[in-house]
Amino acid sequence: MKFSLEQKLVAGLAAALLPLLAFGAIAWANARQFASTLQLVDHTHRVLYQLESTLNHVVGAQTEAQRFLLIQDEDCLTRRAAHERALASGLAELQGLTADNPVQRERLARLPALVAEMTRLSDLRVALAREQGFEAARQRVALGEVRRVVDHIRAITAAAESTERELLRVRLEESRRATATTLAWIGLGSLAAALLTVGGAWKMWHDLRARERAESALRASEERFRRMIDSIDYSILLLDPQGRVVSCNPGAERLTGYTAAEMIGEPLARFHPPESVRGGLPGRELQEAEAGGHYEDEGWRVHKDGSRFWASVTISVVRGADGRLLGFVKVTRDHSRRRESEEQIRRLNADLRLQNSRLEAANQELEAFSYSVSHDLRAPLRHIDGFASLLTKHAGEALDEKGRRYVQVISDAARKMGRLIDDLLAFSRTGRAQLKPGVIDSNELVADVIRENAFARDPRIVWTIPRLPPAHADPGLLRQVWFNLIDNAVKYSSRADQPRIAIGGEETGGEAVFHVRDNGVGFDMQYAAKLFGVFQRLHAESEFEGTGIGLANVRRIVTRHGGRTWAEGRVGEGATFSFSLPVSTTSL
Amino acid sequence: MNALRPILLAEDNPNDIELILAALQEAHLANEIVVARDGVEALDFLYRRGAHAGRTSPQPAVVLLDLKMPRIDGREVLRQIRTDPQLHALPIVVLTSSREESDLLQTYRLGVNAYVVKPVGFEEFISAVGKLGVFWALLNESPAPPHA
Repeated sequence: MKFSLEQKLVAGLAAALLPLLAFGAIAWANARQFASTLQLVDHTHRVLYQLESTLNHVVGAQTEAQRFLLIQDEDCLTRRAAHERALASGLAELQGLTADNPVQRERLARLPALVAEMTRLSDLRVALAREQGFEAARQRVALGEVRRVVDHIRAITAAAESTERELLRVRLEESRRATATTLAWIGLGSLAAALLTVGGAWKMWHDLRARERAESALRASEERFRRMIDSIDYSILLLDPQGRVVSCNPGAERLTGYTAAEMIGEPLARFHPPESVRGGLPGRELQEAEAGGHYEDEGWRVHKDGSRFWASVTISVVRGADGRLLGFVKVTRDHSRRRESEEQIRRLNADLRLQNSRLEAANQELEAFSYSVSHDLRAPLRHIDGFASLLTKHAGEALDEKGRRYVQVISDAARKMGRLIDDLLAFSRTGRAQLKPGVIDSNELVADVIRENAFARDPRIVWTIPRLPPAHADPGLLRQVWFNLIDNAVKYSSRADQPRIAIGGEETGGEAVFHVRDNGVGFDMQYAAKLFGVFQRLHAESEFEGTGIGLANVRRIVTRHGGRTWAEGRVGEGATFSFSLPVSTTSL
Repeated sequence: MNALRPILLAEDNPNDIELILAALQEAHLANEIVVARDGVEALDFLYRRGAHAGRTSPQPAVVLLDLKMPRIDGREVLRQIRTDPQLHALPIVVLTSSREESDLLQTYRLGVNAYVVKPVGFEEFISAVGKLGVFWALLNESPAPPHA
């Protein structure tokens, strides 16, 4: 769940305020209690004072009465009356002060009566003194009686004082405790406040740091963005809703040749060639951008110096949050070089197509040529041989030995030429035929070639054919390869007492390598390079028959499959012919 | 009945004609051998028109057809015969110098009965043509043309 900044602020403030308020309330309550305790203490002091004052006035009044009897001074009576008045008001106040305490109230309630008794006894002695003389008064009124009343009063005030002092002690104790509690709460509150303040400050510091970091990251990002905008070789123009330049990046200055000051306020048409302006393209660009939010095009634009460049233009509309059109951003890139490259590619492609059609024509000519060779060149040979034979039949008797040999040479030459033509045509077909590759079981193919061809039926031959890897090739053409190699091996080993032909193959490094080894006449390695050429022979035809096309055909077929051919041999020690084929057919 | 039918040889090369005739002779065939020098003559013979208008002999037992001929070539002759309801069952053997696979495939697609490459060697040539003649002119039974 996410909270807004305000919510977090309020929550933080509440968290900080609540304990403070709680501590304040507790401290306030404690202070209130302390104040009331103080009031009570003051009350107690006042009670104590009144008690003492009462006792003083009692003693004072009694003493003045006594003195009057002793010295007969009227002034003593005046002072006695003052004491008694003070006593009356003091007693009234005491009663008021102790109204809340039943024990004290009851106890002190007895005082007025005692004071009255004391006053009566004093009045009596004064009256006696006046009527019967002082001596009589002194004798008649026993001093002990007065003293007893005063002692009583003294006892009561002492008890009251003791009670109040106890009360004072308790209240002071309470006040002390309340003070300690208040202090403790205030301390705790201060601590909490301090902690909250420190916490808040730390959080604020932390937030400020985070904000500072974010701001510096933003500044760096803006800086990067600005540098990017400045450094890219795109021209970036900000346009107002009417299409006039509001601001531009250095790329725009580089691309158009105008300075920023020259561009600002200029219409879009400034960068278009005249024919585009006449055609209304600048306005159309903005209309389409405004309608679709986006406009893209490529076309000619004009540099300040009047030169043209091929531009790729993208105009994006800029709208406010309320959808109001604020203007456009126009990004332009110089694609002259790309256009040039494309032109070049087009030219090259055209050239290539031309070459290709020439090649095709040449190929067709070649086909026509070989077709005509096939048809027209073989016919005369057939006729030479045919009529030479007919001549022998017709006039054989008339010819002498020499004549018959001449006819035979004519026949042989014609047949030989026929074979050469057939082989050449086959060789030519091998180069043109479409490859139809498939996976071939090499053992099966080799066995077929040996079984189906009479040349391999020499019972003296010792064949060695282990398990061969499969091949990926055109079956018909690969059969021809095996045919030619096995045919050669049989042919060139036929003079050995014990012809041995070993066929092998293995898969290594992404290709299948096959070889055919014989123990025949072999060849000189210095001519090895000639072996695979057309009509190249290392042996006289009188020794071994052949047209010199077979190995050329092998090389052509293997090369067309992406493979290689090579041969090793020594004169009189046999030869090994090898070829490789890629294991994957993807290269075909 | 084949023995009574002629053999039509469509061949423009006089040397080949002579050699083929010699070969057929070697095979001791009694059939009349009609030679057409090009496709037009061959079709005229088959449709009994032009030089062959009013011909009464039956349709040939086999047509030995060269592919490369002036005016109308062997392929076209073959196509016309195979698309004609009257003639389409006629046995046709292409006898040509061409070993080109395209020729072979094309003529088989057009419905040839056999494709024989003329060997250069005369002995093989005689043997091949002789066997052809014997097989197609003597041994092969083909449905008789409707108005033969």
